[in-house]
Amino acid sequence: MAKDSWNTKALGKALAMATNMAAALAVGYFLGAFLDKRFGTAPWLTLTFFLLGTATGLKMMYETAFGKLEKPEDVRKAVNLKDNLAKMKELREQLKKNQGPTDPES
Amino acid sequence: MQGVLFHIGPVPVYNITVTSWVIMAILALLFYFGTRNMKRIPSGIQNVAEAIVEGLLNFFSGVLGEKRARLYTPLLATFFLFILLCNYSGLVPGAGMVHGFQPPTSDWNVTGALAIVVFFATHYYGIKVHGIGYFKHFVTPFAAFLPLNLLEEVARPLSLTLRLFGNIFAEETILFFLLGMAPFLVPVAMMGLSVLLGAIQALVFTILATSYIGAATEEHESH
Repeated sequence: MAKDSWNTKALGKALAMATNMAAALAVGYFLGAFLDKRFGTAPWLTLTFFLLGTATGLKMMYETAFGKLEKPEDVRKAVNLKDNLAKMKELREQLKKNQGPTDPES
Repeated sequence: MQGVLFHIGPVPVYNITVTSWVIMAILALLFYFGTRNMKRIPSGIQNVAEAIVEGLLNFFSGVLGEKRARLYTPLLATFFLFILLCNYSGLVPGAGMVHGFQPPTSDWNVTGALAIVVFFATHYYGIKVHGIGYFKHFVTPFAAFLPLNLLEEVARPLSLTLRLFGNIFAEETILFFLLGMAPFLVPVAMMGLSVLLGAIQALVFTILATSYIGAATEEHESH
């Protein structure tokens, strides 16, 4: 039963990711546009809230995938460019090595 | 707007409202007659009702843990059963022939209402469990995240609304056009798919509501 509900949870998370991102962008944009119309500050609030919405969407996606950001260290880990680049490089090397024999040009 | 069946005073009553009343009546009657005359060894309707409730309770226990699952299953199981029946109501034989008949969940007013219930339930339970400390989660990991967390709280119900509405509305629209183009045998494939889709969407809505309420009522390192 535990494994079963784990699978369903994963399904829920996967299906949630896409609409969460879209919903966060939409909320940011429409809230900004509404406030702009209210205060007559176009386009600045739209721009700000759209960017905030994008950030929210990315945060929601990150949290869905890797768990909640609880402490300031978690954020530092999430945005550490050097670490992430190194990790990506490693993954790319691994991918290259795995693909090697089937590559037609080699 | 189309779909107004009749008026009660100044309030228009829509076709989807009537459909959801019927679905509520079916659920209420099923569980009323299932629990009216309870016996130790269940039979008949009581057996069905017990199987449904026990299955759902087990499922939520896997996510929330036994103690919290017992508290929140009444709400969450109702979500699941209501959405499931709403999604399947479009598949009742002859449903396409009745003019104006459509599943309640293919209207975004209904899915929006369900999502708003989830929204308020999450914060109500969160405040009930954590008291004023519940608001601390808006400034985790640090204060600069306040606008992001606030936007996230608004984005969640919108996301729930759009997912359920989008899927069921798309399925209904495809079925409608298939019925128009090739009424014989062709829509059966799509109907088979929509049986699966209806169950998955009901499950996904419920599992997300469960994880939102679960996250709001979680005990933080109290041991």
